[in-house]
Order: sequence, then structure tokens, then C-alpha cells
Amino acid sequence: MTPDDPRISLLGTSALLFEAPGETSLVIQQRIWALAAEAELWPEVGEAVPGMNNLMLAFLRPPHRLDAIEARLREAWAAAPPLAVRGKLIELPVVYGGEGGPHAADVIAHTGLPLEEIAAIHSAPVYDVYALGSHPGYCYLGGMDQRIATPRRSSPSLRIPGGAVSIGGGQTGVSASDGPSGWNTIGRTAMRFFDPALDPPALLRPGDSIRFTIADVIR
Amino acid sequence: MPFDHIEELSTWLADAGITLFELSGPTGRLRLSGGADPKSLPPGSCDAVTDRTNNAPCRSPGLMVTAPTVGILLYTHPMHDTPLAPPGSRVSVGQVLALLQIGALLVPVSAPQDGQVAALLSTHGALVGFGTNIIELQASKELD
Amino acid sequence: MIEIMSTGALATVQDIGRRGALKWGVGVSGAMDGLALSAGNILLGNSEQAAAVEVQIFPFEARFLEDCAFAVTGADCNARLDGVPLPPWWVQAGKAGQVLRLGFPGRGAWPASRAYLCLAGGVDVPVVLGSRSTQLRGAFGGLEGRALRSGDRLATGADREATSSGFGLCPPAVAMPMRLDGLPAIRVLTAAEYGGYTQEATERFWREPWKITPQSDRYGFRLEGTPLIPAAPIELRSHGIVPGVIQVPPGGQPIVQMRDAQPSGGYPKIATVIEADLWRLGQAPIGSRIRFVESSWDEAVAALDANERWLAEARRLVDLYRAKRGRH
Repeated sequence: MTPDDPRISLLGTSALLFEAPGETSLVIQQRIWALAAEAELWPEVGEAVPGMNNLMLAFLRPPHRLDAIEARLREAWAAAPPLAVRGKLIELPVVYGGEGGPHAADVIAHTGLPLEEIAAIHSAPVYDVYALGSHPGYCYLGGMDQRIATPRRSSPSLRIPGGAVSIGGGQTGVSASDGPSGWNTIGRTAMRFFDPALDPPALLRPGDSIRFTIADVIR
Repeated sequence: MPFDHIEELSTWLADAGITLFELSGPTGRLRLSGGADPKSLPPGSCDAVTDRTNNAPCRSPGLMVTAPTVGILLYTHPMHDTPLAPPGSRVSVGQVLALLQIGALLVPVSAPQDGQVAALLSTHGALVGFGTNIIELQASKELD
Repeated sequence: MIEIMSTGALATVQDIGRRGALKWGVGVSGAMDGLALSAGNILLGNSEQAAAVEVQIFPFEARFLEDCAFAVTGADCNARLDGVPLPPWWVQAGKAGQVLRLGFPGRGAWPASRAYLCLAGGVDVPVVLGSRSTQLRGAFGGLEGRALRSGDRLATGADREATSSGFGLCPPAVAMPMRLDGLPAIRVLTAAEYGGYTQEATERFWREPWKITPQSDRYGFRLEGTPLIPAAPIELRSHGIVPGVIQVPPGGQPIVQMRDAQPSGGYPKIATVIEADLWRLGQAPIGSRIRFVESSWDEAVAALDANERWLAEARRLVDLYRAKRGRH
């Protein structure tokens, strides 16, 4: 195995984690979607769950032979084409800073940029929804400008509200409900991302896009 | 009837492989048994089993509560450290006095009526059969 | 039907967990001690999917509004029905009007922290995304997606038949003990970032007791011990995780993700508690200490098989006993 090969590791006996090598990119994510669609059909796999350029295979029952499934996974990856998805675009107005951005100061300190510029950089791109995770309806977004990347907090906050816009490492996302988070919250938006009575229950899915707009910047 | 040597007699009988010994006389009756017993004895008789841990002096016998099935006898629940029904304790009808363990299953040995626990007649952890004497109860109406 | 009379917060309706919704960011939830829940369902002849009340704060009281057989498994909490003590892990006939009280879990043979009030027919709440487990973060599932409150009424399933009562099970903690140096031992498999920790750190991970701090709950158990510092800072991309994953934030105090944990994360993972031992950890009381033991894949799979065998054997014996007793 070399750094150019995917990394496969165990999550106990409950799941297996596949990590694609290289820089995070949408093309790799599209291949992850293709790999997930195939792996979900395997008899050992209960659910294939994409992450950021990675894939977790949650087992129905742990396979007795790990090497067999690992080999199958590597083969399937090598053959996986990018799965193009034509999704929808939604716009989210964000109030940056103020009470809704309790960790804005940490991002300012780490990046050396003022809040107005952080807001401008954060709201410039159209973000692709790479995967859902973290909590119901939460979207992991790709395409954040790395100038505003800020490491996850040294210990997670116990309660960040739904609608919180946060930065964790090189990624950004919007909380869909109240709960703990290790990311740096820089602003707030209002949006309902999840309704368990609907099918599908989540507003967004991998392949959709989000554009943040600046509703306000509060220093 | 002198009972001083009952334990010694019991040991000899057990060593000889004799499981039941009865002796009747004008003043009473002695019955020594090493196995399954009828549920109760006629008044005036005295029953002592060959279990050496039972040192209870002979008196008017109580009600014998016996095992409803085969299993490992537990006087104490596996999660506890005090017996379910220690000697001297008052119990009510239906109360769990002991347990029989079969694999993971725990089956109750329950009090057939209100009373007081007079004696534990077997050993915690012993493999017992259907009908084995488990507990002697002094029925409520006989108590002070 | 039962009515909750008094409860500290955090009692919730749980079944064995919600599968298949990870792709929506919905974690598994479910009982912290799945073996105790399953045993309660076995005692009652319930379906394996039946839901129960998970009690974490004691004392807990509930009144029976209708006749209903029930079983209390998990922690030995001095259960009393109208004041009369019940053996732990015992199925009992409850009569309308009777009050069940669960007291503080004892410090007996098996220190445990969560009890399961299982009802004949199971707790009847709507199935949401395939499960009756409470999804607290998303506020759905269980009873209205929240912890139970005094006055709440829980109905039981319609397929409940008159069920036998008055017998019990010897808990798996007694049959399958797992201890190291006098402390509960929890088996783990190393995770992807294990190699990123110094030898000193990994030795401490295996050798030292870890304390369950008061900041521990269904989301995660925050452990206290000598901080685990990686050889170099580790920053990962977000990826799927499961209950049992032991994350180490930069502060160095490990957090074991538990049943309500988010289904993905990005903190470094040093190891993962094997699925077979999640019930053991889930029962560890606040303030208690545990030891981690390294397991191999084969041992971990065998441990899962052992749990399955315990359940299968319990089911076989209980079904035989109930059949022999007939219905009454």
C-alpha cells in the first residue's frame, strides 16, 4: 500500500472505512457515490454511507473473512466511474458574526482575516452537497476556500443551535438541529433541512448545491 | 427419643449407600432420607436429612417446599449477596424462596402458603431433582 | 397501558436501533444495553423489534392503567410492585392500579446504570424511519422524539397475548464476566489513527484505567485519564462513524461515541469498542472506571457470536418453559 492507494480501516466489527487518496474533490466524491451504489448491494453490507471522499460500509453481520471484502472493495473502486448527479440549488441567507457566530473570533485569529472578508470568502462559492451525516439532514459541503480553513475545536461545544453555519478544518456546513459540535460556528441561517414524515426525509441529498448569501455581518 | 447421634447415624447410612432409613417406636418415629421426599410428614414424626449442614434440632416438622423441576439450586439470586429467604424470615404465599437455574433460565421455588422459614434443606449450587426438599416452612398458624 | 409517575429526565423509549437511515445523517439510537432489552423481550415472548422504556435516572415510578405483564432487566434497581420486591430480570404480571418503583441501582455483583422496563406487546409508539427508538437530536421517534415526563401514558402493542410470568433470567454479566485487574474490561479494535499516537500514549491507553466522567450520556462517554497526544496533529475529513468509536479531540481526553452519537465525525480515532461489548460499556456507571483490552477481528466476531448464542439459548429455554406452563 502506498499513500496513493485508498486506505481501508476498521470501525470495530460494525463497519469498515474506505478513504480515497489525494485532495478532496468533487470528481472523487462522484466516484464514491458510484462505489456506494455498488457496495450497498453486497450481502454483508447493511448500508453504504458516503463521507468527504470516503465511504463507510456498515455491516449487517461482520464478514468472517476481511481480506475478501477488502479486495472486492479495492477492485470496485478501481472500476468506479464518476456518478454525475443533476441536483437542485438552494440559497441560504446568513447572518455572520454576533450571537449566532460564537466562534467567529477563533476563525479571525487563526486566519488573520477580518469578519467581513471571511463572510465574503465563505459566501462566494456554490457548494456541492457531498454527503449527509453528523445529524438528521446535515449536509457536508465541498468547495470551501481553504483561506478560511480553521481546525476543529480542541474540545467540542456541548450545544450549538440548528441553523448554525460552521467551519471545521477545511470544510463548512450548516447544523440542521441543536446539538454538540466540534466546529467553529461563524453565523446563523434559518432553514428546515429534515422531516421524518417525508420520503426522502432530507431536504438535500448528495449532488444538490447550496449558495450562502450575506444577510448581515455583525462585528 | 434420643436424637444426639442422628448426624453420626446419617453419615454411616450415607457411607453405606442407604438412602432411606425408618425407625418407629412407641414414642415417635425417626426417618432419615437422602433423596426425594413426600411434601409433608405426619405430625409427630421427625425428619432429618443426611445433609451435614442441617443442624436444626428436631421439633414439630413444618411444610417441606420441594423443587418443581431439576436445576441448580440457588438460595441467593445471582445478582445479590443475601439469601432470598433466610432461616427465621417471614414469607407470604407465592413469595420466591429460592431459584432453580437451568442454563440462563431461573425458575422460582415459591412459598405454598404464609409462614416462617425454619430451615434450608439443601446447598446453594447443588444440582437438585424434581421433588428435592429445598426449604422447611413453619406454617403461619403454628407460629406464636 | 402505563402512566409515568415520576422520572428524572432522560428516560426514553428505545428499541434495538434504527438502521438504514445513516445516509440521511440519522444515527442508530436504540438501547445502550441491547442485551438487556432483548432479554426482556424474550421473557415476555415479545418480537425482537419491541420497544421498551430505558431508565437512566432513578428513582422511576410508573402506574399500570391496565393489566400487563412486564419485565425489568438491566441494572438491578430494587424493583418493587406496590412495595413488594421483585427479583431482577424477572417477568411479572402487573395489575391495573399497581405502581412499579425502580430505585437506585445497587452496588452488587454487577454495577450498572440503566434499566429496561419491558412490557408485554412492546411499547406502542409510531415507527419512524423503521424504528421506535427515540431520536433526540432530530426530535422524532419514541414518544414525540423526547424524554419521558411525569403524566406521559404509554400504550402497549395489540398483539400482546396473556403471557406467563413468575420466572426470570440470569443476566449475561454473570454468565459472561469480563474484568481486568478488578475493573470491567471493554474489548476494542484499533482504528485508523492508532499509529499516529506515540508509544507512550498507546501504552497508557491499554494500561491505565479510564474514568467515566459526569459529562457522559447517550451521545458519548467522556473519559478521564492521562491525555493521549498524537505524534503530530491529526486533521481528518468527515467520515462515517458508529457507536463505539473512541475519538480523541486535541485536548487528549477520549470520547467514546455511544448510541445517540452523530453518525459521522472527523476527530482522530484511536480504537473502536467491539459491537459485542457496547452493552457492557453502556452500563458503566458515572464515576466508574474501565480498562480497554485489545481484541483481534476473529475474537471480536466470536464475541458477537457468543452474545447471539446467549440470546438464542435464553429464548429456547424461556419458550420451552412458557409452553410447558401453558398460558395463564
